[in-house]
Amino acid sequence: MACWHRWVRGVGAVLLPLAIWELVSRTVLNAVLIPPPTVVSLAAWEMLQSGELFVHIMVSLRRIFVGFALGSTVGIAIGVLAAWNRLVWDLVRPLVAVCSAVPPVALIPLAMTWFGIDETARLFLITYLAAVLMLPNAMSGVRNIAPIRIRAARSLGARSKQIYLSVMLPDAFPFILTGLRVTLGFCFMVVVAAEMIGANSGVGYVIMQSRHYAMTTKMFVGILLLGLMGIAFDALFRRLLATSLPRFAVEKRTS
Amino acid sequence: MGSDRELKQSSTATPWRVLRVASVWKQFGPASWVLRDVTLDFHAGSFTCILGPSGSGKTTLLNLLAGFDAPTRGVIAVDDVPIKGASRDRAVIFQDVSNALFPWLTSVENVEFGPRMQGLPRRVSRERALAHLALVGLDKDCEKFPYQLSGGMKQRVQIARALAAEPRILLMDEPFAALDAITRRDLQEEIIQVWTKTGKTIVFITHDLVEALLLGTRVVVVGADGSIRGDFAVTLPTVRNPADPEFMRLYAGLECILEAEVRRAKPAGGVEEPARGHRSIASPEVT
Repeated sequence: MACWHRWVRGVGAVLLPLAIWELVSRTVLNAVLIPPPTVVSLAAWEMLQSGELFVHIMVSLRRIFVGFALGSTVGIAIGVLAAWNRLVWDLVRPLVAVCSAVPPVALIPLAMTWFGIDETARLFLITYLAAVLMLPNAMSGVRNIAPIRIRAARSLGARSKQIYLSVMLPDAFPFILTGLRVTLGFCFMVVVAAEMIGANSGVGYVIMQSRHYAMTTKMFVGILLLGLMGIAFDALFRRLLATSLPRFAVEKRTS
Repeated sequence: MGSDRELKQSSTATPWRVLRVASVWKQFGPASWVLRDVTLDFHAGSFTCILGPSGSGKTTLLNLLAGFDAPTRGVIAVDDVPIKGASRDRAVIFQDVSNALFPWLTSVENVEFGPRMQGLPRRVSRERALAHLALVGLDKDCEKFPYQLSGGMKQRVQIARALAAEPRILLMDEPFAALDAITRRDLQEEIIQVWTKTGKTIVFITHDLVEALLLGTRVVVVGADGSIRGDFAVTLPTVRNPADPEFMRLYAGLECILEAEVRRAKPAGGVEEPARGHRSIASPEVT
């Protein structure tokens, strides 16, 4: 009974706003500026059937994942190194502090000047963002592990290098995974910004391009698509965390 | 088993001093001495309980013995060689039930951690780990992760993990304090069995007087000011009965000392440096 209620409420929470939107945009508001959801989904269906939408989705996803993979690898490598070696941390700390304070969107013009208006500029932006986000994350992940486990390892005969590889890294793993999840979310945000300028494909491009022709319906398609993609990948990531790594999920950091 | 007993008897005949604490002082910040002039010898195969009120520096002493921290003054030596930091000859069993094990490793992987780190081949480490898990009665749970184990089982894995590293000395920091009464009783029996089977030298920190008298061959009392207040040999049989008159006599004597220490600990800042040599309020040291 309770389960049934929750299900109804969940569906209602999706359908009710859509219904209000439909009603309001057909009556009070200008349907050209705010097209009703039925019109938007019809347009999305057409774009899907023509294959146009699929291409844009794949292009955006490729950008996100290539940049995300490159950037988080660099960020984790430096972060882990910084947690290990005080000198490395002292050297990168000011740079990281400045980088995390600057919104990555501000770097778009610079990236375009450096790399030209092409793929490299966009990949650079996402890579940079992922690296800047993951570095402090990985670093504090390694730093904040339970000191008792390092003590245990030392009294069991582990040497510094062994403690690093066999205790600190696996201990920081759940922390780093959580950081990756957040970083992926940010990559989704910044790819759109990057695609709005000078791209000729991608979901961000769809939104920007539609503006030139005042095709609000297509803009809505792009915006809603981004939301759905973000939710889908976040859910996928969480699934991955929960199913493949139960040993890290439970009872990790109580101290 | 028989040979173990012989070994222990011979060690009491000519006691070998495995671990030596010589005039150790420990200071945290100016004018706050946690340990004052602690001198103790631990003989091979002995089971020493270190008893004291909370805040008396028991855990500090254990951290110094383990090598996690260095004394401000004085020397700690294993086999007459001063220690430099933590080492595999002194394995520690921690009180923190939920954090001491490596949560990403199964029980058997936790236990084989020591042998693996010492560079033993995988197969040998695994065999040794399984043997030690069997010793603490956990051979059936060797593939379980720590989060799948109860508190008592986790402490058993900790004991097995420490033993598998083949240390000279086992340092136990209130290992059963966080467990429920029944589990604690089980593990007290277990540790006595482990001790009789392996003949390890054990240093066991506790604030529980009954536990100290159930387990130790010797009970050392640390005072509220961090000095040694008493040092008793416990000449009870290995399997003990709290109703035994000798047990009760020892209990009553230690209770008096402990209560005095708890009272001394109460007035904040009232802990003054005691006069040297005034440290055995206890009845003449029975050794």
